Amino acid sequence: MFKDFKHSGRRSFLRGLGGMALGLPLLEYTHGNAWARGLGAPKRFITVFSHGGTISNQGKTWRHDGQGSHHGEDLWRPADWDALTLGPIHESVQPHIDKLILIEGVDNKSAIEQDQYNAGAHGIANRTALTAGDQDEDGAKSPSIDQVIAERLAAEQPTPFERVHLSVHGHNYGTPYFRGANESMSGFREPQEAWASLFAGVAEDGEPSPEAQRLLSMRISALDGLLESYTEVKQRVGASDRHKIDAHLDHLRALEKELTNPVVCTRPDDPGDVGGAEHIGPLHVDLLVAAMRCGLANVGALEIGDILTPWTAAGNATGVGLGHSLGHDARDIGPTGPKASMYDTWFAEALDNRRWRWSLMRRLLDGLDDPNFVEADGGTLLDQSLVLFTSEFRNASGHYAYNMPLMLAGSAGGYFETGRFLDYNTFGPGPTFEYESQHSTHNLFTSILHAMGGDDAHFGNETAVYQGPLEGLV
Amino acid sequence: MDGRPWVVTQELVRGRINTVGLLLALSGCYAGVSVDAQDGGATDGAPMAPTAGADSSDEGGAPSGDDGGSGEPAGSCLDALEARPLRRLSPLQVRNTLRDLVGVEDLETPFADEADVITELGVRQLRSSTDAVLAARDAWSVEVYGCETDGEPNAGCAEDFIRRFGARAFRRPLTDAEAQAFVTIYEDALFGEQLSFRDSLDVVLATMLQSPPFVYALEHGTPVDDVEGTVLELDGYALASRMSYFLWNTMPDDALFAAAEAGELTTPEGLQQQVERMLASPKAKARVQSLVSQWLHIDGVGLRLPLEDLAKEPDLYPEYSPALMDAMRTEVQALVERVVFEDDASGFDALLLSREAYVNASLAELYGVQGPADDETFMWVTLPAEERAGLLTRGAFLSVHAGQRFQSPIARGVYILEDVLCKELGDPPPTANDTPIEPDVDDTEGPLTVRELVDVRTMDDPTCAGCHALINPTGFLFEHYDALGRWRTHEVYSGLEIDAEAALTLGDVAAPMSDAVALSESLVQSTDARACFAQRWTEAALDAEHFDPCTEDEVITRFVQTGDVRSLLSSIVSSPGFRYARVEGE
Repeated sequence: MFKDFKHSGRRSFLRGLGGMALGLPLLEYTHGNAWARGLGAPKRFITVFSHGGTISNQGKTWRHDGQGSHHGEDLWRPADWDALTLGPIHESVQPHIDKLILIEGVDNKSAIEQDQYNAGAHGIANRTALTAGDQDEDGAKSPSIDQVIAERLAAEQPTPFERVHLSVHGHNYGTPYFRGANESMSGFREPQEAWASLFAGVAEDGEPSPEAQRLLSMRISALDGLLESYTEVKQRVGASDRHKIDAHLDHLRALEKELTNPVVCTRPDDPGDVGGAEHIGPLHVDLLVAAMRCGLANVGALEIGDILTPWTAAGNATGVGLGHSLGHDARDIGPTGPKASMYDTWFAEALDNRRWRWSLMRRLLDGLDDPNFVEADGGTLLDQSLVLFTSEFRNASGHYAYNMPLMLAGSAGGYFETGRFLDYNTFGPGPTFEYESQHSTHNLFTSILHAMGGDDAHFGNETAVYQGPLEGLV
Repeated sequence: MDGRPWVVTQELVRGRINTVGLLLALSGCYAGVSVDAQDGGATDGAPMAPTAGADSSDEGGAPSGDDGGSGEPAGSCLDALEARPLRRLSPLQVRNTLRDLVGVEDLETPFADEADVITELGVRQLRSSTDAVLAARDAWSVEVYGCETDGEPNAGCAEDFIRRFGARAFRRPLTDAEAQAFVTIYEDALFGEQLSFRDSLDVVLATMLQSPPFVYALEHGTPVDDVEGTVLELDGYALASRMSYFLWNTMPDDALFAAAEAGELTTPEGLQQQVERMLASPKAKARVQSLVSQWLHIDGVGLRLPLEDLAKEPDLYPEYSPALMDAMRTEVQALVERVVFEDDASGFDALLLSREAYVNASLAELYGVQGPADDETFMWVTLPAEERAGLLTRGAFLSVHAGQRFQSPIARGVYILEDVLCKELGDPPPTANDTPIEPDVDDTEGPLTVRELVDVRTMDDPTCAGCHALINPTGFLFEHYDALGRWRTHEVYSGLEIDAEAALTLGDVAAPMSDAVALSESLVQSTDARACFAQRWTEAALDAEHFDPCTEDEVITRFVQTGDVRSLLSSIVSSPGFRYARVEGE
């Protein structure tokens, strides 16, 4: 069986590329230094997806007035519209107000139109939150906005990773992140696993140790064999299964790309084996910021499950077992609700819960907007980036995908005019309980594509009414 | 369905009742796994069936091209077989298989991807899992490489390793083409990358453990004549893998491989002999315990947290502790082992009726019986006949299907309808509150029992009443059990007397009943319940919800008659749906 050795052509190519990359780093980032590729500051897109909605009285075409079983508060809405004062949930990011855009009055029409109750519903809202597309129980039928952008930016701004996805895991009704039809994406749950994977190819001084070089050679050798075997088996599975092998192949190629595009950068410390979400969340944010500073990816995702936050001051005083149940109880704590006596307890717990989630957003913005890490144009990473915070619906008690919670941070290099609150409610931003919107996340995502350099007429499923960008953003 | 419906529209219920009445949804024809029907590399007589329509090889245990000698009537049953989508090993199966391949009992692997299409993270975790295997090298209790690896390269050793280890990793012998491909990988590593002998072998091992035949269920077989489309009778190795992952959740052992190689699995006698041998293994007990736990939802599903993740209000349940939850898990596992593997009882009846309980001191106290002196000691006790009957009246099930403070008749009722009687209720409206209904702490609704509150909040609204007319009475039968499974005559919070009587109106269990003990007694007599149990286990075996009519008849009808869980496992393995696979056309 053992014949005269003949090196495969493909392997020679990879070995050569790996060696060159190790000797002459393709990308170079160091703390405190500017982007060094001479291509201008790269654009980045980061989503922060918080499962389970927020604290709101939003219904479909109404807001609860607080006289019935549902409470009447909306803690997402700004505290002062004219003074640009954020509401109780996200007041922690007030210091970044000049770089924020709070968006009110935009629906997820895709979810609403596909739900038999015209609300949003379990799963449907999740599968459409970032795709604005068609879906069924098997998954979304189109990629999420971050994946589309990741693929586009990767072509313009090569990075070792197409996207970095970190998850503060908890109960949820499905991920909003899709690579393609029925193909969900998931993030690292453990900071140490994320660290080990993301920064494995980062060489701090540009000179990999012999041990690192040995491991790299082993990985490349194994990948070579795997790519060949998956390519071969693809021809032998049924037509309806080929996409599974294709996906596997794509992921192997992604791993290969990481190995052949090492980066010189300062690695963050090994986060170690940490415990619960209260520790995982901040560490994930730090890793995400570090990954962006090191140029490991153009696109990032921080996914926060619908977790309870017993470590906060209010703890888990309601005694609910799931964050999802906490959301539902919004409909029962009003003055005529069966849990009216729990009003104060519920609000304290729910608010602390959402504030903790927003503490992660604050940490992310602080990291991206750190003036010690400026880019070639003198701006911070945040200036060139666009961060989108959202959820699958606003009011978790009714799973209404109306008036989605949407916050943008960063201007994508000046594309968006920040420091504004925008309201697309037909009845205006005033103290009204009426609600109607002719705008959808279809429009917002189209605007985001434009901010990232695209000229798309539309994003999401072909719903003619919601064509084009969201007016007034630029 | 992911979330348990707590309130379902009348329209949905009416539609379902009008469509299927109160019969269980057991009809339909299923099959399906994607099969590797075209092994272009099988050029050397390796025991893999060739492409449908191509010549067959009988060497090395490949089945014959007829009915395989099993006596199965292939025609009309197999016509109804459906192609199943390509499956891959579950995270647990990956872990167990890697564990068995190298013989490291406590091997920890990070692979956790359960998405239908593998994610990038999943591919990365597969690689990390192979890293974990290599990192555990010093603990390997299986001879993996078969020679000294620190010295000079040993080509003979490498080739032997590739053939020998590859056959175990792929659960079938390698074809010559596959073996040659791994030799090339080895040589590239050794000569091209200038890696050491051991590193080169490690590269081959890592490649094998991430390769398609390891990760995916690429099954081989022989085309069956006179069947519409292409249906394969699985060869011995494919069948051995199916058996092993169904009955053990891991790879075949040496004896099963040997039976596959000898062609013994293609005869009813040989198949049965292996099933009996496998059922005697501790791995089968663990698998059946796992299946029962999944059936009871005590591993967590949808809105139900796993038993170990539950929390109970300490003021109301001072007995609660994580250790008590562990004891409840132990109790379930012990009862399953006793009634399925040790007793002569038929299994299903005993699962639902047994009053025997394996308890420690705390669990005995919860059940109100005399038990051992401490929590480290477990012993078998007999529970009160008027309070307990089988798994549905034990702490594990009752704690999971409850809130932190109060019992949840809706959760319990939905479970019985959906998972014991296979009655699908549909999706609730999005405004339905899935928080367990509890008495208002200020008693603004007056002194009402949980039962009364449930009716108040669900039966006044016609949108809710349709389903809750079925759900509520079923759940009320469990009212004697609080959120920790304690049996009570008066409610823990309100102090009001408990009323657990209810009249069921569903299927063949429709009757007035006194409580959950009476329900359990009714369920063991229920064709619907037995059929549902068999349905759930066949779904787990075939990874599908619909089966061909012969499988349905041979498995479900037989179980309805016998209620024997071990026979159920045997009949599933013997069924056409298990032994055959439809090849999807281009």
